[in-house]
Amino acid sequence: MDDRRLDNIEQALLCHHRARQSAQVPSDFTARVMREVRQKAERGADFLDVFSLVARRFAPVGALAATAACGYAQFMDKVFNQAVLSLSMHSTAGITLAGLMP
Amino acid sequence: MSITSRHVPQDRAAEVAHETFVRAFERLGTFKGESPFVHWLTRIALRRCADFWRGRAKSRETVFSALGTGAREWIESIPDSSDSGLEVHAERSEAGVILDWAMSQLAPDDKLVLTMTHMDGQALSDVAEFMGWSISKVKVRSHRARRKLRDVLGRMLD
Repeated sequence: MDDRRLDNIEQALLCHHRARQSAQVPSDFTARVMREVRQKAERGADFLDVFSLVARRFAPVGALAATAACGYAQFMDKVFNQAVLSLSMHSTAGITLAGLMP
Repeated sequence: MSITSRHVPQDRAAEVAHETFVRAFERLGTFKGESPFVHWLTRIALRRCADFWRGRAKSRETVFSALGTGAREWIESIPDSSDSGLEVHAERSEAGVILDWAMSQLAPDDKLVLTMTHMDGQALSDVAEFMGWSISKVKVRSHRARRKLRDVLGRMLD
């Protein structure tokens, strides 16, 4: 490999890079950026609109379902505890507790 | 725009700058004011430039001979002795074609760091901040990138 020639090529490329002019900004550059930014903002706003509409529309149903689920869970918890206690009291405590309790 | 012009081909600089500003808008909430706004924007621009080159990874497979006879003639016109008239060669458009091709053979991060340190002569501390690296890492990567570039140019001479 010819080092001197390589140095010269590297130097010439370096000079070329330094002499390069910055690319011209297109006349509609700002307008295009703003248009895309606005579209993105509108898409975000559209999502929030739809989300709040759905939330308002289904709020009563959601609240009812949540209350029912909560009540059911509490009731089942109570039934489960009673069953464990009952089995424990009938001298199968070892098996019951070992098998059912986490 | 001046940043993207120095890191991606001229005809794609506006497109990458466009993506930079849109990305900056999307990520505006992450600007914490710990560094100047221009540094934050520069980091986004550099990441967009790196993404641009990652997207064009296939261009690294382009062989030198595909650049045409003009590039070969330019190489052969470079003297192999100490010469003060390199500016004449540097002004020719073939120099730009070869420079873009040689740089496209490097990994995106190598290209960025080499452009900022060796070619633009930016301060290592600035480059370290823009790249999110330590100064010693910038030095090492810059040195390796320059060696890789010389390897690419050397293979071109063979």
